[in-house]
Order: sequence, then C-alpha cells, then structure tokens
Amino acid sequence: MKTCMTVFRHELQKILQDKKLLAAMIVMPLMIVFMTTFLTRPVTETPSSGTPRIYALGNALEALETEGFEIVPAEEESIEELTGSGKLRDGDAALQLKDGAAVIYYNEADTGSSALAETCRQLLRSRALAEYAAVHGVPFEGLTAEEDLSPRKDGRSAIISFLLPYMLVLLLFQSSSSYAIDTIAGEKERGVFSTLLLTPHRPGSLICGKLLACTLFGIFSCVTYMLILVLSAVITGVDSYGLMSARVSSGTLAMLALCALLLSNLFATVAVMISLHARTEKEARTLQMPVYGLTLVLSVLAMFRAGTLSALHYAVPVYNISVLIQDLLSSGADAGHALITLISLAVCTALLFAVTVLCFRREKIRC
Amino acid sequence: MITMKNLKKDFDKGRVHAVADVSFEIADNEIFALLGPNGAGKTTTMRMLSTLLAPTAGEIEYDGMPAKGNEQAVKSRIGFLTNEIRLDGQFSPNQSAEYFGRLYGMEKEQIGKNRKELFDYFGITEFADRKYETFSTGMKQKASVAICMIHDPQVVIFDEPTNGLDVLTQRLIEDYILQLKEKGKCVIISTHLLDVVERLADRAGVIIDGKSVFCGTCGEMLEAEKAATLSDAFVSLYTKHHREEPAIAGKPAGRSGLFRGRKA
Repeated sequence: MKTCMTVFRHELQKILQDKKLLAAMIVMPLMIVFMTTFLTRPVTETPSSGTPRIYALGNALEALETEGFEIVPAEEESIEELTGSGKLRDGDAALQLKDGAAVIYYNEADTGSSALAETCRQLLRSRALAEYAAVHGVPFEGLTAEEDLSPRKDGRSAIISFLLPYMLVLLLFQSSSSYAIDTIAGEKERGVFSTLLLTPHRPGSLICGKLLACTLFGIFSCVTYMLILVLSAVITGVDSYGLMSARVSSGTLAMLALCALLLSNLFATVAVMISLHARTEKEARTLQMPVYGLTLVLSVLAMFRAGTLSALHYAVPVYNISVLIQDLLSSGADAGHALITLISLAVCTALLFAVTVLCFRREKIRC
Repeated sequence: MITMKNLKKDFDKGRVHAVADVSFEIADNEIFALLGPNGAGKTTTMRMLSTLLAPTAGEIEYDGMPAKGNEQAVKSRIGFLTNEIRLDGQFSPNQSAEYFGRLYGMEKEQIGKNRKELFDYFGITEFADRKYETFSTGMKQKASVAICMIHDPQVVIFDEPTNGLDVLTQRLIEDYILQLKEKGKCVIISTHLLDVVERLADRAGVIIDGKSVFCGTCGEMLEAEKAATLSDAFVSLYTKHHREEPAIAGKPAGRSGLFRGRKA
C-alpha cells in the first residue's frame, strides 16, 4: 500500500507539473460547453419578448393587463394542448382552475416564469381570485394551490438524463485512458517504466499507484466539466442540459459520484492493461480504438433504450452505468438494478486488474 | 558473488532463443565486462540478472540466494542502467532521487546524504532542480547513473555506460566504476568499446549467439586466441563460435543487430 501511495503521489505531482495537461483538462470541457450552448440555443430558448403572460387555461379568467405581466385567457383546457399550440414561452406561466383546485405550471429554470408563478401564488392567497372566480361562475372554491413542475421542465430534465451519461462516459474514457497511455505506454517508450520496475516492489503495487492516478485524473476532468457546465449556465443563462432545473438529492449525487468513480476506474484499468501490452504510445492508441468504439456504441445504445430492461442489461458494463445515470436523474432508479450495476463494474475492474498482474507474472508484458 | 548457471531464455513460446547457454561467476570487488556482437544476448542476460526477465532454464544466485523467488531482495541490492532506461523528463534529478529513494525504502536523511555525494561527484548539483529533459546527453547519463546508484547497491550493472559521451564524461564515469570496485562492489558492464574493457575490467565474458564462449582476463583472452589485440581476439572468438543462421522469418533481425533471436 505504501508503494502504491508513493507512486500515486508521484503521478499526482506529474499531473500538477504538466501545465499543458491541466490546460487541456479545462479547454476540452470549455469547448464542449461552448458548442453545446451555441448549438442548442435555438432549440431550448423560445423567444420571450413582450410582456410575460399567465395563460388562464380553459378561459378561466378574463384578460387582464397590468404592470409587469398580463393574464391571457386560453381556449386550451390542458397544459399539453397549450404547449402543443406553441404559445407558451419560456418566461410564461399557466394557471389551471379545475375541479376546485388550482394548478400552476411554470418553468423553474426561467427567472421570469418563476416570478409569474409567485404572482399566481399571491393571487390565489389573496382570495381575490376566488371571489373573482365566484363572480364569473368559474368552479373554483378553495385556495388550495397545487404547484406542478411544468412539462417543459420535465423536458429539460430529460435532456440532462439523456445527454449527461453519454458526456460522462466520453469524458471519463478520454481523460483516464489518455493519461494511462501516457503514463504507461509513453513511459515504456521513453524507457522510464523499466526504471520503476527495477525497484524492489511487486508490479501489482506499482501499477496500482498508476491506476489510482488515472482514475483520479478522470474524476478531476469530470468534476471540471461539471463545474464549467454549471458556471456557464449561471453566467450565460443558457442551461442547455437543464442542470439548473434538475432536482438532485444528496443521495442521488452520492450515487452519481460513485458511478463516475467506478466508471473512471474501469476505463483506467482497461487503458492500463492495453498500455502495458503495447510497446509504444502509438500502438496503445491503436489498440484502444476498438474499445473506444465499443464504449461509444454501448453508451449510445443506453441513450435510446426501449422498454423495460432486465437485470441482465444492468450487468453489461458501460451500458449499465449509462442507464443507471439516466434512471438516477429521472428519479426512476431501482435499488436492485443499481446494486447489480455497481457490483458488475467492480467485479469487471477487479478481473481486468487481476489479468493484468497475471500477464506480468507470465511475462506476457515486456518492458 | 553472482553465479549464472546454464542460463536460457526463449521468447514467443520457444520459437526464439535469445539466450541459449550462459554460465559465468562474478565475484564481489570485481569489474566484469560482458562482450558480444549486437544481438548476442547480453542485454537479455543482464535483464535476467536484474530479474526483469525470468530465465526459461538455468539459475542465477546472489551470494548463494537464488534469484527466482527472491526478486524483491535481488532488486533492492542491484543498480541497473541501460541505454534504454531513462528518467522521467518532466522531473528534476532532485525529484527523481527523492522518488526512487522512497521506493527503495530509504530514510529522508539517507536519500539526502547519498544524493549530495552522487550529485557532487557527477557535477549535477547546480542543475539538480532543472528538468531532466532540458539536459544534454552527457548530463542525462550522469544524472541517470546518479539516480540508479541512489540506494548504494552492492551489484551494479551498466549496459554501455559510456556510449555517445564526450571524453570527459566518459572518463568521469569510468573513474566512478573504478571507485565502485574499490568500495567492494560487484560491477558488470556491457560495452563494445574494447579499450574501455582493457582499462576497467578485471575479467571479461564473451557471449556469441546466446552462448558463453569465453570467461577470463583480457590477457588470457589474448593468449587463448593468440592475438595481439583484444579486437583481434574478439574477432577470432566470433569466427570460431558463430554459426551462420538467418534472422527469423517474418521477424525483424533485432533493433541493432542481425542475430537478435535465433530460430529454434
């Protein structure tokens, strides 16, 4: 363990000393965020010019124009119809008075829409609306206001649960494997790796230190990416992934972190194994290509899954974690499936590591 | 004392014989030169000595202790430097010394003491905080020797230690090798420079086509081959023992020689 930590610390020092590597770690997510923001802006941002509107579904309320907002009667009886009509903008809200209850539809990611929702709440609380409804013969009796997350918000959550697993898989693979290739195949090519193997330690503990560094590098890149994503959403106001509207509990966050850790560890182990078998960095990158392709296919397949998945699906590495992340973000995760996913990943990683060490013992790996 | 008995090393499931039959005994307080043409099996033999490779057959013993099964103990008492082994260019000699010192289980004070001694001797103290990649060839070699000796090993194995170096650096390293002998260390060097062998080596072992064909002093080699120079003696040995064999079909003849790897 001491050896492993010594190698790990040395690798960390190497990462921190490598300014180009650190810059790449920041530049890559910046580029992705920039492109995503740029490309998704027309889709996610409905022009919200003009006065913010509260649509009164089913013509429940009369038109009212006041300072800061206006109430617009809408013929549509349900929020689905209203959304389908294309009238509802990101900055608007809708109010449905039905069967003696009120439902507010709004877009929490939009500050204007959130403000309108608050106005609706005040209207409901003031009793004025109840009186108004009574005068106009609208079936509205109480002040019970039921807030609902608007369907548009669900759509945003869907974007994050749809795209994030793919982006995470991509980032973790790229960062942990590129570092592993450099630190093992690159060092073999440069003659540095043999120096390490000459020290009086088992190859397993030396590789373990490198593996930890690769895993951590993957996690670093991932965290950097998420931070840049959040910062960009806050600064530009364009929340391409619906990050700001996604409600993630601390438990879900912890599970997501665990998923990222295991996935990064798996990718790092695969890359370490490949790098150890390759004689040069170039050879390692070539050998890595089919694995990269397979990883992409698995994560894309997870994006477009159809129907309910069996427990067996959750035993397929990469695919399972992409599905689990989707489930976690859409609050549909099953504890059993999560357990199968985590166990299968851990077992797969441990097996790969054991095979790598075994290859070393049998001199399948030449340095 | 190092004993090598009938060492054999095959690669590719026995299809390639890198070392066929090598036997030498090397005493402490001795400089032993390993000679042979390119691809004869010198580097493979040295890799087996350092336990980086396990012999297919044969035995290696360090003071009676078999290397097989005691790899960690062997590694802790040897310092191994080849042309192919380098330091991480991103780190300075100071950082590398600290890192390898820790990996050899040394205390901080001991690392500091050994580092100062070695860096002062090789004249790299001034550059000890500069990145290794910024060094000249000679400086890199001096730094590599210093780092490889940081744990003060009893057995020192140098593969072509003075290759491509200027006369001054060459002399510095040669003097260092002589000092190691005076300290009672066992030094094994592999070189193609026969004048270096004459100057440094107490005894020399010749490997041709993976087999040890001679072991003795330079004088004994001259006498046995009835040659005037070491170069003549070496050529005579080579002519006598080399079997003409093609390089393995479908395989490169080796990085730097024709006979690296012999067909089974």
